[in-house]
Amino acid sequence: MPQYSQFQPKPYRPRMSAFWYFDRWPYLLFVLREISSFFVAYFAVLVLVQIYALSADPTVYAAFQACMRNPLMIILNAVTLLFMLLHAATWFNLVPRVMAREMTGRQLSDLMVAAPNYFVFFGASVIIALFILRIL
Amino acid sequence: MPAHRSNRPLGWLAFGTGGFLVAFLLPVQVFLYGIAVPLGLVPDPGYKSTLELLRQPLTRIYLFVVLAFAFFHAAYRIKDTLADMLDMRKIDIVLAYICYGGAVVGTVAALWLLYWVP
Repeated sequence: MPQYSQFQPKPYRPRMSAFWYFDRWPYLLFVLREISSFFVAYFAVLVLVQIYALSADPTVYAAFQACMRNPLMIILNAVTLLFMLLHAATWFNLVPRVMAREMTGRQLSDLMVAAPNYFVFFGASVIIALFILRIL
Repeated sequence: MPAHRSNRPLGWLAFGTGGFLVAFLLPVQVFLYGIAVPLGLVPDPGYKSTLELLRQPLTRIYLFVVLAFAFFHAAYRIKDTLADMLDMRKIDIVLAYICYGGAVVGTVAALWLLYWVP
């Protein structure tokens, strides 16, 4: 290990603002998409609480439902829904970037390649909704 | 000399699968249980009927798979988000243990709760 006394080069350490993601819209969109993960974790825990309340007894489930009717919870869940839809849209729109785009010799548009995802999304959502609402 | 094996693909596989499951399946659940039923936009199926749905083995398998992958998906992204946003790259490995530890706890809790449904 060589010893440098006076000509020790200063290491290059670029400083980045802690708020770099406010600089440009794509950066902000990226960070918002990443933040969606906190809401995914929150909702997964909420489902665990719901399963627990359902398994306990009707009074516990009634308390759970009363808590869900709290306006603050409804706002939190609305924000959660928005973040999850942002996650879904950004996820679906990735497909055109990682898949072959050629079909019948023509280049397909991004929207056309991502479109099947949206159809599956709506189909799956309707089927799950029918189960949740106990129609199926 | 054995080739270096990275454990990175394993985390990414869980992240990717979870990303798809969350994107396709969870928004409708957030909308119905989190907004529509509490606001009375749709009729509430009620305690008995919902418990009946939860009792179905298929529902429990579905919930376990979705929840487990959602936890690992979230853990992967939360780890990277904290590292990027709060400048915590230096303690990357600590963050990984905390986040994946949380995902393991969530998955075990899901398994436990779904197993003990009356």
